[in-house]
Amino acid sequence: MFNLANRVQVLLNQTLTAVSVLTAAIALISVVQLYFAGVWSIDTTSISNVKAIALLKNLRSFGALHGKPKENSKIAFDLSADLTPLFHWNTKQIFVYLTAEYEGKLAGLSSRVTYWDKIITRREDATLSLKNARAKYLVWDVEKSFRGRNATLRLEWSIQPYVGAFVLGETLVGEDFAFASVKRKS
Amino acid sequence: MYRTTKTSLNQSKLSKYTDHSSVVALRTEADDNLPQIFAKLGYDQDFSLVDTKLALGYLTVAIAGFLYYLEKNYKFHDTKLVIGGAIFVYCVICGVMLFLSKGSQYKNNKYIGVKNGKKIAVFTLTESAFSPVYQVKVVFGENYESPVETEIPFTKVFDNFGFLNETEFQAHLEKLVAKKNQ
Amino acid sequence: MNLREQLTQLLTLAYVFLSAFVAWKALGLVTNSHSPIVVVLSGSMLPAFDRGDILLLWNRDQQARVGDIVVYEIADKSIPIVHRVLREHHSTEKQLLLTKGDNNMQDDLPLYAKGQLYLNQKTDLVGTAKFFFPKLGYVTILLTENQYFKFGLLGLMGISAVLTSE
Repeated sequence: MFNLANRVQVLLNQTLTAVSVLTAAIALISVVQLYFAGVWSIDTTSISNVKAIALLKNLRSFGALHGKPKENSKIAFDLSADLTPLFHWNTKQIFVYLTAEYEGKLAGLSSRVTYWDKIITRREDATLSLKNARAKYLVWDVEKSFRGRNATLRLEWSIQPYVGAFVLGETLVGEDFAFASVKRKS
Repeated sequence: MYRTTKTSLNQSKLSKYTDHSSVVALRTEADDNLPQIFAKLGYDQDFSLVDTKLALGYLTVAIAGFLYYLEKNYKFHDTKLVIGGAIFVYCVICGVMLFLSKGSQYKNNKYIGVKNGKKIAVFTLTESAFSPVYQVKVVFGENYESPVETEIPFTKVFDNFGFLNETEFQAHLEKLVAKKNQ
Repeated sequence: MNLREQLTQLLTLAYVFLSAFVAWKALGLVTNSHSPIVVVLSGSMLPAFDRGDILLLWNRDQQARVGDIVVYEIADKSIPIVHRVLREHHSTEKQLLLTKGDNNMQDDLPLYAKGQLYLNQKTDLVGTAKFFFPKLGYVTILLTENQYFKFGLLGLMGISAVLTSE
């Protein structure tokens, strides 16, 4: 019974066990290290000068259905943030995104949408400083319109490791703004 | 070790020779010869334990087959309870099989035989992979009573080429079984 | 006698696959996902994921979070898609998601079924990616896409099976 197939299987099993243990250790150490680097309490972010714009879109890819125009929202903003603590030996990239959270018209409805995002792969690029930046995405609501509602902007991040667990979080700064209304054509 | 495989292809099973530097190979070869030695001593082999283990083993194969059938024909979220039940039964059967091969009454059991309505069970082991001594224990009756034990150095039953000397091996085992009657 | 030996050997061989398969099924129950481990097949999440990267999924979250990487299935399309949540809208009963591949210009609206505007968090997700392991899954890509590798491996297994039964 002690032949080639057996040996290969034993070798495979041992390799698998060793790799699993090593991977688990790496994953655990990474998260603990991030915790002690204080990544969940970054409060130096600043979001300001938010200008909201509303516009109507007719395409299905902007949420319009059955030929009815759909209200879309975009914003311009200033942003500065230092996300260098998110980089360590097991950070492959960070995905940084600016979200707006708002309540729906319908009671109990709550939404969070992305206006802007950026993939950062080097620590040197982890300091953000944007002036009058434009949203990357046009956003439409699950309901008919944003009109008359307020939203809170937050800078969030997601760490993609070389190996290990995905880690998500947000910086401790929120900036409120009011959605714009579509100007009536007269 | 590869020699075993190669030579057995062109030699008859009876005159197989074993890698005499490997304790495990020697023990396996001796174990494999127990049935024919005890047959010569007038015992009929009792396969009920082996057959039970085989039946349980193939039952787990059937359960895995059933799980595969479920996967191909039904949606996962509709069959979670059934899958859970099947895995539970699978684990229970595996537990029973583990007991039948590692439980104190079954561990290292290599042969069960019957002669004139009397049952014997043979247990063998080697202390470690580096201790070339074959430890044999034989128990008698349904309740595994009056155990007799002996130690046979492999050098006594294998020659320099690794051939098992069956006559010598049989003599050792015959002497051991006879101990009980003293 | 000989039959028993052969049956035992066959069983030993079968257990190599059997135990892996049942473990897979058990993991599916634990994670509540019919496919708890997925291999990335496309480059739409580059540079985060490349082809062959392995993701461990978890499907017991009450809600998905914007920024989560989720695996979802669209009715009548056989291949699951791994993309990031761009928007979420939730009430107490239901959560709707819009997803997008990091490397894609557009959101996933064109990928969804006809008339479908959002994913339903409860019913459309295979799971949320929680753990990442690079490259190892390339073996399965080779297996499904490269004939030589497939038959080579099958042949190797056949030979080892013959040797084992000796």
